[in-house]
Amino acid sequence: MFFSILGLIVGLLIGINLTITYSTVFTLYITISVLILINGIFRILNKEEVTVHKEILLLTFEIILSSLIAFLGETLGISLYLAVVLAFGIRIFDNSREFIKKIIKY
Amino acid sequence: MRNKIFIFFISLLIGLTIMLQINNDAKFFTFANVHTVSKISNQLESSKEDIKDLEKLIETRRNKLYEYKETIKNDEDIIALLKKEIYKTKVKAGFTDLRGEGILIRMNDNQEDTGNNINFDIVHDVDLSVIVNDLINAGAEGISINGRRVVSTSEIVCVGPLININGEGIAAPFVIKAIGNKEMLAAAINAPNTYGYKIKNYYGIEVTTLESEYILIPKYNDDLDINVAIPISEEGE
Repeated sequence: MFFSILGLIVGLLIGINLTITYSTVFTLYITISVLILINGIFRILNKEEVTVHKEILLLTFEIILSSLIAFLGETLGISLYLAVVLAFGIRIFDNSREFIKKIIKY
Repeated sequence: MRNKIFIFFISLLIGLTIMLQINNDAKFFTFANVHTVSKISNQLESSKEDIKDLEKLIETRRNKLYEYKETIKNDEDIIALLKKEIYKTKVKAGFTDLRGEGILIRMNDNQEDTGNNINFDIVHDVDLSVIVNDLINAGAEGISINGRRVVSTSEIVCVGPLININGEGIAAPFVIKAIGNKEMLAAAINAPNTYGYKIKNYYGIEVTTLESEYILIPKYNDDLDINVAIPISEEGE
């Protein structure tokens, strides 16, 4: 948990100093990716044993699939990305609740 | 240890993406691709041209001021100078007869019986105004239609069978006279894909041009009445 907070702070500091810009078209996908990563970090923090390459594979798969769904929604004119946001939002709350319970117990 | 490094990197990624997203929405960073860059450079070009024009304007104004000052200093007749200026302004506004090289355009309704809608066969006010605009664009310095001088307040309006110009109705055939570079003026009417070419070839309206070394254009006889508008002096009072 200490490492995750440290990483978050370092990432924010790097992000402030970088001046990378991208088209507003990608805003949706970036936001979804952030959601998936937050969900992933809670899931990993809950686990006792983590196999790194499997987690990377899972996260990549999740990001690609949700981006595809969002893209499909964009092209069809339906806000399909809401499905992704809803699913991962619920899972973030579930995982974070478990995590908090774990901390309180310790 | 491996787990901790992994957790560290994932959190780093989260922080990075969040911050990038926030930065990207900020006002002072805008997304720039080749298209926007070319657009902005075009804007820059046009602004530079504007600046150049304004500088030229300043130069001419300065010269004029210098001229006035010189006349006052040399005790020359400033009234004569001002009269000359008034005359020049009158010439520009269309209060004097003009002559010079130019072209003469004759426009008439389609005389053949086409059997089509009659609206396609007659010369409309729109046709006249587009032709006049084309002539002005080609550098015409004076234009008259059937002897009515086209000045800054001239209207070209359809009034049933007639067309009103300077408050007087005129009927077909219309004879438009324009002074300017005659080749340029003729090209503005006859060149392929100009408006004159289109109405001549697609609608069958008679459009004939005659280039001449000696075109006479009459002056504008009325007054330019200004009742509502309030002039603002150049100093901006």
